[in-house]
Amino acid sequence: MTVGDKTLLAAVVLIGVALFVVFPRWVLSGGVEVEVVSEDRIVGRYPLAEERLIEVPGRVGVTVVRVKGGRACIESSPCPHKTCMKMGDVGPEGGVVVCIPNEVVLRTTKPRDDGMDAVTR
Amino acid sequence: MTDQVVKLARLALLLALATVIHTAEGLIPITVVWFRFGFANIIGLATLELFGFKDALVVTLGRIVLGSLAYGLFGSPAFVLSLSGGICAVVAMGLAYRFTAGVFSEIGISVVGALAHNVAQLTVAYLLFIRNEAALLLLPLMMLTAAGTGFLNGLASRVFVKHFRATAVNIPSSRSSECKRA
Repeated sequence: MTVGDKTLLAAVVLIGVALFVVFPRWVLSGGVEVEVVSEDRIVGRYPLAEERLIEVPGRVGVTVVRVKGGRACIESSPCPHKTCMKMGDVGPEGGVVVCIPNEVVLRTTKPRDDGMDAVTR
Repeated sequence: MTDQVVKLARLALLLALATVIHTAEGLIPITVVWFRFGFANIIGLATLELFGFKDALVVTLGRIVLGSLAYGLFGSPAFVLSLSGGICAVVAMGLAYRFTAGVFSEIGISVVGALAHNVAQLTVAYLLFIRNEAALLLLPLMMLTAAGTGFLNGLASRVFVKHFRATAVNIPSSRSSECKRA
């Protein structure tokens, strides 16, 4: 093993560990807006503060997204199992709600500053 | 003439070995180990060292195509990921081998290859299949596994090349002109 090998290995491990700390914060940062994606296209970004119903056309039909009380969820969906409706809601802590059959994705964006990196469930 | 045949036979053997390792590795239950060790790259790296970049590319592409045919995964997303990773790994290892002579041993080159493989796979997966930033969360994890598997494969490749050179007399690639005269 040469000096180059050791340097490379050390660098890769260090960068890997560093990214471990930095990446989740960057990728999963919470937000005050919900981004609605349908079939790889961003349909729109809506502030969580305003109550609204959004009709999102997808592959199978129309998914209805509800924004209420600072949280976004899927109100109704044309998909067979309604897993997306059972996924609950996403709020400023960050997260994703996905409807696979209809190819609709909700996610919250923008960082928040109360010291919490992310919440998983 | 003879040395060409000898070279072809040896490359065929390496390709067969790589395909078997590639296929056998897929049998490791995915619930226990979710990442691949990339053991087949041992042969890719050894071919690079013994016969050069072009042959390493042929062996790697060949084992990915043959391995996926054996699994019935030819043309599937797994095949596309495997292919993109394989090509990038060989190109990166070829460049590292050529332009950083003396800096890296087999281990370093293997780590470079493993890194290129993982980064290429993740990029392709993100661009073609997942399109969600959450997929990028795997990057640090994949970097760490690349360091580990790259190290192991590099060691194995060194042993393989040493053994190959010791047992297979008269490897013709470097002195083909001499052989032609004789």
